[in-house]
Amino acid sequence: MANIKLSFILNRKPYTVETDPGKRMLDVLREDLGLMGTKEGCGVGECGACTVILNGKAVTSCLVLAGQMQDAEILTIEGMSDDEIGRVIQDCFIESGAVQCGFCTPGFIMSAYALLMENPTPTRDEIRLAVAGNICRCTGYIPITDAIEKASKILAK
Amino acid sequence: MKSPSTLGKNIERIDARAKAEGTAIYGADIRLTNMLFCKNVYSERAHAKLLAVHIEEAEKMPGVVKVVTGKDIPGAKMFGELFIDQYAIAYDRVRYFGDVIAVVAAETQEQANEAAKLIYADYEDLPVLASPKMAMESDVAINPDYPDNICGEVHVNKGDSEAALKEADVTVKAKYITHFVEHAYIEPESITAVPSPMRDEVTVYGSMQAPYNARISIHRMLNIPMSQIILRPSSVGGSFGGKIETAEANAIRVCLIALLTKRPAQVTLTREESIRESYKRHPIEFDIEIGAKKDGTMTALRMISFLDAGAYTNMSPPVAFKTAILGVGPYNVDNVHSSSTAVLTNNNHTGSMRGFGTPQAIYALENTVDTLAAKLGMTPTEFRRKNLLKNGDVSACGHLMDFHEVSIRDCMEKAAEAIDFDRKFKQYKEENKDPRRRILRGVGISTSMRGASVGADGNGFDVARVLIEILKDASIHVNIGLVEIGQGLRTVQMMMAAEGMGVNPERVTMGETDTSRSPATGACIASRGTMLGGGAIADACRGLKTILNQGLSMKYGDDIGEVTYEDDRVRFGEHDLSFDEVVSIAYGYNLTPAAVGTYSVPVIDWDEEKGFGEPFYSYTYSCHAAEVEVDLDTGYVTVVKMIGCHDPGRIINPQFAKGQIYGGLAMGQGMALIEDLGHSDRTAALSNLNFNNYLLPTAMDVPDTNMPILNGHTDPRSAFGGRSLGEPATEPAAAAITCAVNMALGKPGAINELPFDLERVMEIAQEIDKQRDIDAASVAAGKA
Repeated sequence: MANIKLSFILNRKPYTVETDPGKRMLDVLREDLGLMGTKEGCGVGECGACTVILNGKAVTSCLVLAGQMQDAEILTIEGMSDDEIGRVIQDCFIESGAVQCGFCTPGFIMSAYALLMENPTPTRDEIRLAVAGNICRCTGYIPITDAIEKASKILAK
Repeated sequence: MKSPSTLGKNIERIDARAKAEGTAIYGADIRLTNMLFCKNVYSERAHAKLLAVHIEEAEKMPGVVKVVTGKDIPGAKMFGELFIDQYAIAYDRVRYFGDVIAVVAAETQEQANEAAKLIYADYEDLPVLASPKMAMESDVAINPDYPDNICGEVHVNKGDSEAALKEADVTVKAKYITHFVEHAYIEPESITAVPSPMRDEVTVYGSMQAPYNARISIHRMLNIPMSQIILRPSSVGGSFGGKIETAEANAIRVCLIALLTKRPAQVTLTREESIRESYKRHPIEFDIEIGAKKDGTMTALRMISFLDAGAYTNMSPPVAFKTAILGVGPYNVDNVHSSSTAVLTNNNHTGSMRGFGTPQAIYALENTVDTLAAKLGMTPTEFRRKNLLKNGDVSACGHLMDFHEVSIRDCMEKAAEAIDFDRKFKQYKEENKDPRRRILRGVGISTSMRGASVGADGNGFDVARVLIEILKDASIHVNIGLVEIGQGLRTVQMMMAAEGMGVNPERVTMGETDTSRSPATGACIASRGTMLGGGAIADACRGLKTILNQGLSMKYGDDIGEVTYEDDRVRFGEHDLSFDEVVSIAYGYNLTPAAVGTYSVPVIDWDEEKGFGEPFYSYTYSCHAAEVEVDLDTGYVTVVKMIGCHDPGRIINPQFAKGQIYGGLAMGQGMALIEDLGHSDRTAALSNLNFNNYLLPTAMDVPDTNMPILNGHTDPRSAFGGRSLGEPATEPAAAAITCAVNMALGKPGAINELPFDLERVMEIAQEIDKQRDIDAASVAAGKA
């Protein structure tokens, strides 16, 4: 497919890239933009390691075509460290033991971010549902739920 | 007064920040100038002679720089950690669908992928042996070294189990079957090889659990000196025993390409390729028989098991060792026979996976124990209370347990109490009799003792090494080859080094594992990282103190007496110096405060011939308890709560220890209930090659009420008192869940095949319904 110009807002900054619109958004982020924090674990939208936020919603970027990035507002893990909410979530993941091998962590943090933007005071079950599209093989999930719950409490203050 | 130790504190994981910010570099994140992207081409047969591999068309494709086949390997054609029988690239035969027959290297991944599609081979089909039974009955040898397809046999003998079974008042005989399980590390394998422009040298990055083993294989197959093979594992995105041989095969392939093309080369497996190629947890069939006296004393245990080794020997003999030896459990029983036989097949090979042959055996044993207890009219806890080991007993394998706290009974009591086992067992048993009840509830409990580190089958070679250097600014730099694979080992090593030197942990810096900087140390396997790494670190710290003390003697005279290192201070006689001062004194006299540390597990007294003695140097004790609900109408099993109580020796970092347990419980839940690779026992193929049909527990499936209990007792056999937890954390989990489901169904041992899928539970449920109808009819008839 012929390359096209894609313009979007990524981590609050405007970007224009020339790329194949049939590519996966995951590849645009990793290959065209060199943003390696978004991981590929399965390529079929099941593991959630490639989760990013597209127009306010958590999506698995391996299932999104590059064309859909046009005019979109996108957040990735690289945009979390200088985001107030993102920073709190990261800190809580670290403090709660929610990070082990860490490969799923960026995806979980993005799902958590999308949740807290929409529902700042989720119950534990709402948290579990919000991250049910992310698979973690290390932590048994409870430390992750703890981390997101803790972040919501800190942010509610 | 001794100051509070670094050990036992929740020190923050040193790699957590980078991982949470997405900046940690995993294998597939590496991008280098001029780097080639590779694609493996897999066999289209499970068993065949490989007559020719046609690569000509692929070589002509745009962007293709190199295509290699097995014939391009200049040195030895096969590799293996313990048994050399695995192809990196098959050249004369293929033995399973995961064998690679060629590798394409191109300028882009897309170009490599396209070219790979054009490669095909000529095969001469051989019979596909898709189960141990088929392989043992066949006269076709998968590996000519093993004409009967048996690649490992281990046994345990204590007393006379046959006679004891005859004399027993009550016996139970049962069969249990387990399945292939995927490690399902979320990061698929990715390896990058970078050649040196200066010499025949290659540096390898990526997802590797056992870099020193890979170094040996690359050396043997590619004919370059070990000193010029440098392995630097990247952040590893989960392993669980899984990133050893498969990662190594891929490392050999990309090293070959890098050396031939003089360009960096990377291979990243797709999830389908990862599942297709990688080894699995062993499927095992158990025939088990146990006997007891009327009073509930367990007198006899026989366990015969056959393990599906798959296409390569891999770790099957040592796995069989643990199945046979640890499968007999933490019971005080006088008459034992256990034998494990590993059989080569054309299935995916099977090897190291968290538990290493024991979760299967514990599942078989503990369900059988429950069946026996029911027959005796005892509850699961009553039977275990009577028969679990205590201090001074002799283990089922013949080990006199007098060298540390044998806490298995305590672990069981704590787990039982936390789940309220005894009350619920009684209550649910009654409730479940009500024929109107469609959701049955159950509780299950299971126990294990886990040998720490390798065990007697590795007698004499179980060694760890470290190199620690104190720099001029009094920072302490640790180079150790036991790899961080997500468990927190790097941080625990830092804590132990701080403890060993009596300094603040902030002084200790941890190098990334680099085989050119850290001495060979064996692999981060067998839950040996904390105990063996700790032993080596303690040894190096002793060496460093000797050097620092030498400096003190040079300055203060030979009679300085005893020197203590504590609280970041160094004290002797009237002196109380800062650690920095002591380091600058040593440097002032041109001393070199660097030391290697070595720790070898003492040789233990195990009689392999007889199958009796001390199979391990030490043990971790574990008990899991599970509560479940079983829906009779759908067969659906809900895990309501799990408890994991463990004694892994001294707890070095409680948060990390709990993290292991939370994860271990979830992994056991997946194994028991849902994970299924869809293996065909006709074609030897796997049909569930991605997570859309290989289902894993999610946050919604794993109970939010799961609870770890740390029951640590410092082990005098370990330098810092800690043993192992990685594997024990998952070992008894599937057993506890299955015991709970069978209890709910009112039929201990009823479901004896993993995973428990809906259909199997439904079948039993329908039998229960039928029985209820019969009971109701007979009650009605009686009334009439």
